This record gives sequence, C-alpha cells and structure tokens, in this order.
Amino acid sequence: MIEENSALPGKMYVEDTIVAPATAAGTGAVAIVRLSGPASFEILRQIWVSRNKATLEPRRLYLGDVFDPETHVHIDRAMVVCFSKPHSLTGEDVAELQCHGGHYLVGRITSLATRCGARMAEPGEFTRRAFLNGRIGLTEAEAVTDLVEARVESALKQAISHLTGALTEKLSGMRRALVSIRAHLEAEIDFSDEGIQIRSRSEIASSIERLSLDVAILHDSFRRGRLMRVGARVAIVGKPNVGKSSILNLLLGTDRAIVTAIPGTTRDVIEDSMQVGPYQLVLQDTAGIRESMDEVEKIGIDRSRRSLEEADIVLAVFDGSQPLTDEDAAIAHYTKHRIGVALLNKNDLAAEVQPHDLNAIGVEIPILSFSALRADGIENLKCELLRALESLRGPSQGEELAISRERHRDGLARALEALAAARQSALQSMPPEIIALDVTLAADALGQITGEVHTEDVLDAVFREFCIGK
Amino acid sequence: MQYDVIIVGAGHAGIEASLAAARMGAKTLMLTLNLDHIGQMSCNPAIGGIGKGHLVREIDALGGEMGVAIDETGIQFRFLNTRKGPAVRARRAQADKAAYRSRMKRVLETTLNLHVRQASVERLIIEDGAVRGVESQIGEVFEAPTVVLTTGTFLKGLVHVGEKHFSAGRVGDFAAMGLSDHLRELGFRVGRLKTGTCPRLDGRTIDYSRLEVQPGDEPPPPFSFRTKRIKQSQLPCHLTFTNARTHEVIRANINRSPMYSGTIQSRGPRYCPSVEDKVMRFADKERHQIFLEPEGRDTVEVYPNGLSTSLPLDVQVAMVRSIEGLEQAEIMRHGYAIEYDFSDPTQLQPSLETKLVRGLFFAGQINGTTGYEEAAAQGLMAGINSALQARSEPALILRRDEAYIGVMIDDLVTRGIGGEPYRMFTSRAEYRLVLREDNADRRLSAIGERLGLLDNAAMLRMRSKTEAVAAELARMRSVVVAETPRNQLILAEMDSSPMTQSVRAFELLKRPELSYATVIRMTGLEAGLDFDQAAELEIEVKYDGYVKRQTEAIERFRRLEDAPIPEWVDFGSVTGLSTEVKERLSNLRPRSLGQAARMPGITPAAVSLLAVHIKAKRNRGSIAI
Repeated sequence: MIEENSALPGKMYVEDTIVAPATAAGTGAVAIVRLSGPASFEILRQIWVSRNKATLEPRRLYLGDVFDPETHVHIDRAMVVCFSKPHSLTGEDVAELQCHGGHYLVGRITSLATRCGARMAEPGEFTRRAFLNGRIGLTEAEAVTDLVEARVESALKQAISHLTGALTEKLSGMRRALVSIRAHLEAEIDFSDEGIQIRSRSEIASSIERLSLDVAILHDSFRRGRLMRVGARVAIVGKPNVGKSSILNLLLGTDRAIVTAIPGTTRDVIEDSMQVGPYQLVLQDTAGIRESMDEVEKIGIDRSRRSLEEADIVLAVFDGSQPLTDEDAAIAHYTKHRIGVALLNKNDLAAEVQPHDLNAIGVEIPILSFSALRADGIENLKCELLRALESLRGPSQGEELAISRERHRDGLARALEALAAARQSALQSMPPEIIALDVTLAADALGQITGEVHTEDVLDAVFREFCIGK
Repeated sequence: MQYDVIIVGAGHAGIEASLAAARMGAKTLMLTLNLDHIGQMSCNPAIGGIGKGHLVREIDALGGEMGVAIDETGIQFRFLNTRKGPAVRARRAQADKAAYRSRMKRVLETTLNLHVRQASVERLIIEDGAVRGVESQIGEVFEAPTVVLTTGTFLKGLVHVGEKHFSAGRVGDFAAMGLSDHLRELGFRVGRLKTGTCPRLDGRTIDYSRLEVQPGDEPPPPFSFRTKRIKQSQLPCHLTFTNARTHEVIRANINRSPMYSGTIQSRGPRYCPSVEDKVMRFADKERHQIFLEPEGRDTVEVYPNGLSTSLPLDVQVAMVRSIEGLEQAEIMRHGYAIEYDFSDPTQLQPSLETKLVRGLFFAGQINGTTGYEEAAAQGLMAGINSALQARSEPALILRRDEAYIGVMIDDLVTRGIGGEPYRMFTSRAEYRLVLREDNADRRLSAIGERLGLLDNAAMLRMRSKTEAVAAELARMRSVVVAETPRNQLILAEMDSSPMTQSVRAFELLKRPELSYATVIRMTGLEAGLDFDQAAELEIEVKYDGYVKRQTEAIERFRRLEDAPIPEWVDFGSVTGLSTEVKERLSNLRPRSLGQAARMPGITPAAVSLLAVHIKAKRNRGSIAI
C-alpha cells in the first residue's frame, strides 16, 4: 500500500493533459481514445487531420485521419468530438477520438498522443479530475472512491466480475496462508519463553514451497489470461527479403505491408490482427534482423528485437531457395525455447535448404514448407498457429483462473521472489525475524493486488493459534 | 503555587514524566494518591521481555530512569531469544519490588526542580481550551500551563474476586472516582478495560525440591547503557505446571468467575489471559507453565506467574494446591481482576498532548496500554513534551523507523487500541532489524543529550563501541580456527556442519547458527566485545544485506511520512471520499499522508484523493467543487 501510494503525491498534476483509451481493451468495432487537459485540442491537431478542414465546434462529430506526426504514416481513419471546458466529463478541455477497435491500434494512437506531450492517465484519473472539478456529484463520487476497483475498466467490469471475485478469493487465501506462516514465526519471537510448539525450519520451508507453487501457477497464467482477453502477439522474423511482408499480407488477406525485392523495406514494426479459431492474433511484421549501417534501419532492427522478445509466438521465415547464412543461424537462435512455427519459404523455386538443415542450425519449432508466392501451405500454417496457441494456453481446461493484468503479474512476481528468499532463509536456519521479513514482503505484494495490507491480522492469528500468557 | 509542569500520578509513567521535565529545567510538581506507593509494581515483579525490553533500552538511551533503577535493584537478569537473531533478543529482569519503590522515591525526592506531594486530583482547571492547573479533593489548587495525567488503573477502578467486587485503584489503594467523569464532561471519549493479577504465595510453604530451577544469566546483562556491571547476587526462579486436576477445579467453578458469569463485560488482553481463560479456550492443552518469581530479597512473597485469576478465594486455594510443589502453599494476597476507565488514545496528538485541551497530556494506562515499560516510555515522552511546550519549543516526535516508542505512540494515536489493552510486540515494528536493543543508544542518545537528559559520556561510550567493533572485526578476519575435534564437537552442538579445513573466524561467524560467543569459544581467545558490541558485529557480518533492504524500505516509508497534511485541509470538503472516511479523517486529523494511510478504514484510494486535493488546492488557491 505504501509503495503504491508513495509515488502519487508527486505524480499528480491537475494542470497537465492526460490520455487513455476510454473503451475496454479487446476487440470491438470502435474504440475511443480520450484526451483531457489544457493541451487536448493542440495534441489532437498534431495527430489527427480533419477531412473538411473546418474549425471544430464543440459537441459535433468530425471525420478525419490519424497520422504519425513524425513519419506522416497514415494510422487510421477516425471520428472526433471535442468538449470545451467546463462543459465536459472532467471539466477540462476534452477530445475524444473514435478509431477502429483493436488493442494495438488504440495503443498506437495513445502513444502518439503521449509523444505529443500528453501523459498516460493514472487509473481512475478522469473520474478523479471530474469530481475535483465538481462535474460529478456526491453519489457518483462515492461510487468511484475505491480506486482499486476503478482499476478494472468499467466496460469490462461486469463481464469479468465473477473472475475478479474468484481471483480476489484466491489471492486472499494465499495471503491468509502467509499470515499463518508469519504468525508461527512471530509467536516464536515474541513468546519464546511461553513453551510454544515451534515449527521446524524444514516444515516452514516446505509450507513456503507449497505456497510458492500456487503463486507460480497463478503468475504463469498471465500469458493464458492475456491470450483470452487481448489475444496473442506473433512476431514474424527472418533475415531481410525472405518474404515476411508477403506472408503477413497473405495471412491478413490484404496488402498491409509494402512488398519489394529491396532488403530492408519494412523499417518499422507493422502490425495487424486476425482471428485464428477462437483467438485473436496480432501479427507483427518486423524489420529484418541484420547488421545494418543505415541509422533508420538500425532503429527498426532494435524495435524488431524488442517485439520479438515480447511476442508470444514466433513465426520464423527462412528462404529455402538460397543457402543458409549466419543471419539465418541468428534467427534460429531466437526461436530457442519459444513457441512458434518455422517457414521454409519459396518452395516454388529450386530447394537449396531441407528441413533437417534448419534443425542443424538449431531450429526446434515445427517446420513447414511454404510458398508465399503461390499461397501454398497457408491452411497448414493456420493449423500450426492454432496448435501454437493451444500450447500457449496451456493444458488447463475450462474456466480455470487466470490473470491478465500486468499489475497482477508484477505483484505475483514480487511475491514469488520474496517467497524464494524466505524459503532460502528457512533452509539456512536463519533466525525467525529474517524469514519473517520476506514472508511479510510476499504477503504485502499479494495484499497490494487485492488492496488489503494489515499487520493486525498477524497478531490475531498468533492469539488464535497459541495459548499465550504465562 | 505556580509550576511549569504538573504530573498527576507516580507510577512508572509519572516517574519518567516528572524526572524528564524536572531534569530539562521545568519547575515540576508530582502529585500522587499515596506517597508510599511510588513506582509500585501492581502485577508481576519483572521488567523487560521481548518488545518491552526494547522499550526499556530506548527509555534508557534517551536518559530515562527505568533501566538504571532495575539494574540497581534487580534480583535476576536474563537474556531472552539468545538463539535467535540480534534484532529480537531482549533483556528481562526480576525486580525487588520494595527496593525498586524506595530507590525511585529517593531519586524523585532528590531531583532538582521536582516537588512531590500527596493529593487526590479531582478536577482540571481549564480556560479557553487550555489547561491552567488542577484542583484536589480538598480544594487545593496547583497551577501550571501543562499537566500530564498518568492515572493507571485508578480511574473508577473496580476490583472483582469471584462474585464480590469493590472500588479500588488496585487492591489496597483508593480509586480516583471524580476524574474520569470530569474527563467525560470535557468531551473525552472514555472506555473501559479489564486486566488481572495472580495471587501471591508464602515462599516458605512452597516445596521447591521437586521443581526445575531457573537461574539468571552469568554475568547478568544490565539494562542501562550507563551500568558497567551488575554487582548484586542473583536469586533463582522456579518452574512448575498446572495439571489435569487444576483444570478440573477451574472447570467445575467457571460459572463463579466474573469473566464467565457476565459480571465483567470489558475485554482483557489476549496475551495476558487469566488461567481460567487459558484452560477454557485451549481445552486440549494438558498443562500450562507457572513461573514462581520471588517478589524481593526482604520478603517471602512469591508471584506465581501464569496464575492470573478472578475466581473466588476458595477456588484460588484449591487451584494453587493442586499444583506440584504448591500442595501446602498459603495464599498471602488473593488474585483479582480489575476494570478501569481509559481514554481513547486517538484523541491525542503524537506528542501525547490531547487535541481537546491545550497543555494537557495523557501517558500510560490511561491511554489503554498495559505494562510498566509501555507506561514509562509514554511518561518519558509526555514529560519531555510538556517541558518543551512550557518553554515554547516544538514537540519531540519519534518516528516508526526510529524507535519502538515511535511505533507504539503512532499505533495509539493513529489506530487506537482496537478493543484490548495495548502491549508492545516486536511484530508491531516494521523495521525491527534496524530497531534493535543493542543500538538504542545509536538511535536515540544524541536526542537525550540535546534535551539535557544525558551527559556527554553517552557519546563517548558510543565512540568506543564503534572502535571496539571495528577492531574485533579486523581480528576475526585474521584469526584462523583449526578443525580440532573440540571445535567439531562445538559445531555439532550448534547443529552446524563440520569443518573440512581450517578457516578464518570471520567465515564461521557468517553462519547464521553460530554466535560471536560460540566462534570466540572455538578460537580459544578472550572475548573482545560485550553483549551489545557483539550484536553489532553479528548484524554487520551476517545480516548486512537484510539491513540494507530494510533501510531502503524506510526511505520509501519516509516519502509518505514527509508529505504533510496542512492545517487548512478541511476533510469534509475532499470530494470523492465517503461520509464515513471524511468523518474518520476529521476526527483524527492525521498530520501526514503516511499517518492517514495507517488509519483503520482508510484505503489507498482515499489517500490518493487526499493527496490530489491538497495538491490542487495548493496550485489553484481554491477549486470549484
């Protein structure tokens, strides 16, 4: 709790301009990106150009286009409506961009706004500004008092409420288990002269380990959880000019990426989404990963690396018509321990490379022979992608609990780290207050997810479980 | 008569308050109901213990009296938790009650600027929301701009034994009947608590021959940083246990206990239950330990620690005589429960001054705490702060990362006592690796010196401590310990893995299970450090990484702590807060966002709203709501 709050007092600037998606994450026909603050209109003008060039009147809808102000790349077509202060949701100047739905597009537009000087809104910050400026009354304000709840996007709230309840229940249960472990340690410290049955260190270590497993399972459900909620990211990688962009276009059924025979044409990460089975897939066509002297291309290559690291699934493309190079070997290396598919492209030409050659350079993911030119193997590829998605989803069945928020994953990661340290201390027979230190950290990390951080309950547990008092 | 500070009460809180104020130069008056009972230990004859011992060390490091007094008059001294880490080790001493009392009385009577009088205070004199003095039962008026109330269990004290009950401050003393009604009239929220004590036995009728002896440590560890060595001899305690027959006696008569018959409604402390509570609540436990503690050198009275009870006297006798070694024991005083009034401590500022009446301070059991040590620590702070206020200086407030005293007072004024008497536990301190009893001097003695409660000898002692630890660390790095059969045996004794070759003493010291004393034994050298210095050395060698982590956590904690909530904040006008939260904040008026965050029922969200509100108001001067 302390940690979460500690950054707030310095961070809140009512005077600056904030931006955030106003619609729920996920796929929908339309999504809204909302700007609020004195620079809202100025920022809007930088990233969006009206089709009929007219001056914008408040509360009227205008059609226009979103451009990247630096590269002038066309991003999307979008409707815009403006509200002048104080007649707006927040009481400040507000601009709302209605763009096409899709998590990544919305993220892109939001990041354009932040590049132009807006700040990502804190959870619940629009609401907070609204009641600071007297735009919402007491009843409404009371309903949003608990920002912890406001963190769950309102539109999703209902749909996932059962999930949230179950998650809270699960986290509280794990926290209670930690409180009980700590109670034993504290009783050993504060009531050592009262003849209390002390738990052995190995016993404590094994209860910590059991709990760690639970925490780890929940932590690892992040990919699955996100997969269900926002889809999976697929990075298409390969050395320049192996046909990555053609494959992207083929999968999407459009001419999304520019296809030329000049290596290095795709300099930024291009992405778009498609549906495979029940899943949403976000395809990211990356700039070819190679050593380059070209500054712009270098930046693109860096982004590719990052996109590759963050991706859930790797689609590695190799040119089957030419001997494998060091660059191919480097790509093969990136596929190690990853979920994905390798494509041996250009099977319309004379084959220079056989699947076992790919195995020889370290490719361990399934290999498909493919021709982007003839669209040969596309159904097989979709099948392989579906299989990759299933393995990403994991062996779980039905409605098993999964987290999908980074805040949750980070809290669980902190808890795991602290639990590992606590277990280590217990095994090394460290004194109880040292073990308790990390057990407390772990409990607080879980408590921060659910919003409950109390110290009294440790004492309560002590008095419940032990007969204290000489 | 005009004074700077008036202290009402001469228990453990009153003593520290009076001495601190007088030693800081304030003209101080101490008023007590009974001059013969100054510094009385109403319950067990012991000082210290885990958590409580930490408080005594801090009182001493600030220049208080309790540590020196117990060192001079104690009859047994022990170190607790020695097999655990240095952060939770603590001292405990058995007191000679009468010697402790007369020593305290002598010090009070010989302290400059301090006047001691017997009087029963019935009313406070208050003008324009500020205290002006006190008035006694017989109409005497004493004037001062600051008054400290340390009334213990005396406010409307009601003693229970079985079905019988009567008014008393404790058995043998009158209760203060008028004062708590007067506090209620002034607008204080006053509640009721319960505690209890054991019967006292005639030591000559106890058969010690079959009982386990519990001797003190040799050499006895002193409480005070100022005590070089404890010279007096030590007396042993003895250990016995309740048994099935004891439990049977209790169960057969449980309906005659005022706690179970419903006569007593208020709650007692869960960590200090009566023996009937223990038997009823933990029915599957076959026996409970009873420590037989002598009450002094010049008395035969023995305190059977663990036998606190309010059962009728005939049951007390039967219960006692069912216990091994006590078959012939005679009860000299009966055990009893006592109910008393306390004032909700959330009505206090962190200086212990009441929010309702300027210049009025509360310290000790009146704030709902329990224990001599908790009382003394508050008394010391109230004494210091009343003297500071009398000379118009800002109050001394210890933070949670500075002292257990800071933890306790912050808990009291921020969260209240939560329904049962408040006692110190190490688990209440978030930063206990840093708040150790060995380093209380490093944390607090500079403050004590600045206030004039300590002379500069404290600073010199700390310097020589630093040098000694550094020198010993260098020695441990150079001395080699050989893998002799004797050393392997010592390792086996400590559950430590055997050595495979000779190593430096420093390497052995890194093992969590090996203390400095053990390693020194293995080197065959003379110990170069005393208890506290050894603790510092061990912390440095074994737990440095953990201490660093805690220090980082403290820095994060301070960021919120250092974000003040200005006086002008009107909690009622913070939009977005629920009515209940607004009410809580308005009542308590937290001073920092950190304190607000620790209040019960205040969510992180509420704290953020408050932060935004303050920021917005600052930026704009005013905001439209």
